[in-house]
Amino acid sequence: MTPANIIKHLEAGGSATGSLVAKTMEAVQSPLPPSFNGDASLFVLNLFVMTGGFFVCIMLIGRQFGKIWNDRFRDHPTNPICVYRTISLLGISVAGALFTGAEALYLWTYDPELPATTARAIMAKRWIDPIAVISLMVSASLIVVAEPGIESQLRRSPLPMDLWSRWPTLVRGGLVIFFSFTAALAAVCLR
Amino acid sequence: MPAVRIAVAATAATTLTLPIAAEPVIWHFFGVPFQAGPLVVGLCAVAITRCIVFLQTKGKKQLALDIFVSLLCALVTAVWIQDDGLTMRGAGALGIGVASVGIGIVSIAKGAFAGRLKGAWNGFISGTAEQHRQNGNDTIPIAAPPLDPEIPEDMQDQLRRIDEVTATPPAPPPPPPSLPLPGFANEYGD
Repeated sequence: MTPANIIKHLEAGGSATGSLVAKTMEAVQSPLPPSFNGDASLFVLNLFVMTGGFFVCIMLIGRQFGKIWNDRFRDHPTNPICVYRTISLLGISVAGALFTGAEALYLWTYDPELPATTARAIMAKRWIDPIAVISLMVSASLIVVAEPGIESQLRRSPLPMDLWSRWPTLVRGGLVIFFSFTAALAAVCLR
Repeated sequence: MPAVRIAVAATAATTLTLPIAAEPVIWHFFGVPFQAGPLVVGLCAVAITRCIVFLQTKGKKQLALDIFVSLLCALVTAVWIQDDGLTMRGAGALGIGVASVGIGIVSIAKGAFAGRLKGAWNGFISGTAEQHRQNGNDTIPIAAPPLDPEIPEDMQDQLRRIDEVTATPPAPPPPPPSLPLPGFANEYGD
């Protein structure tokens, strides 16, 4: 294929034009994804939670990976602190960001007038979700494998725990969630 | 029974269905129509990105700078969305992109406009000079070079002409022809 042909092919929607999702969307004209059955509140809830969750998970990835990276000369990867950080990095933030990001991509891309694009977005979700689950599985195995080493360290006193004094660190995440809600609401009510 | 009332209110809120906008809502600012949905989504994307990446402030000055750069990003995004009539997806992606560039917008704008500003300034200056000359204000008398008063008047003109001719710098001598070094027949040195 020449480049001109490839561009023409992509402009026509590529291989996603005749896909099953595209055919279904052309048959069922709906302003929301069909699985919501026309319930706009449920759609706003999903849009809000998936968008906000994606950004919060991205923040957590930056935080945990930054800590691992900054202490790379101090903590060996098998140190309990590093294992704990890896578990929370892979099991919560990476898996969560991949899952919610793929879902948010689909929900934001859904457009009854662009069936090929929507088909591509949902296919991307089908490919990204297994990767998220693999990340989750790695983290689960790490929890089990590193159990004795980590738990023996965590039992040692003193145990300085003051959760309430740390609440201002959640303000940025709260702001992100608030703006995600505003955006989701605007996407439906203002269009 | 406030608990019961709250429960009833919560049930009513969950059963309430949101209205889907039948057609795009348009807001007017300063007489310019803005599509409300993409505008709000783009501004929210800017706010979220600024929260995630940049709002880790230490000190009052940094906080003020962050706020001003965020406002600048929001302004640029809003104007861009209105100008190009972007959809919701495009507006969100644009908002994230503009906010990640952050203070770099200023240097991008400088790069885009500094050349034009310089050209405009040069054009203004040369145009002014041209007009000045056309108005006849540019006849600054050039003083004749001081010559030896012993030389008679008719020869002085000739000497001045010779000076003008010799005043032009001579052409630089041509560079010496580069001769191939003996013993290096090809690029491999053998």
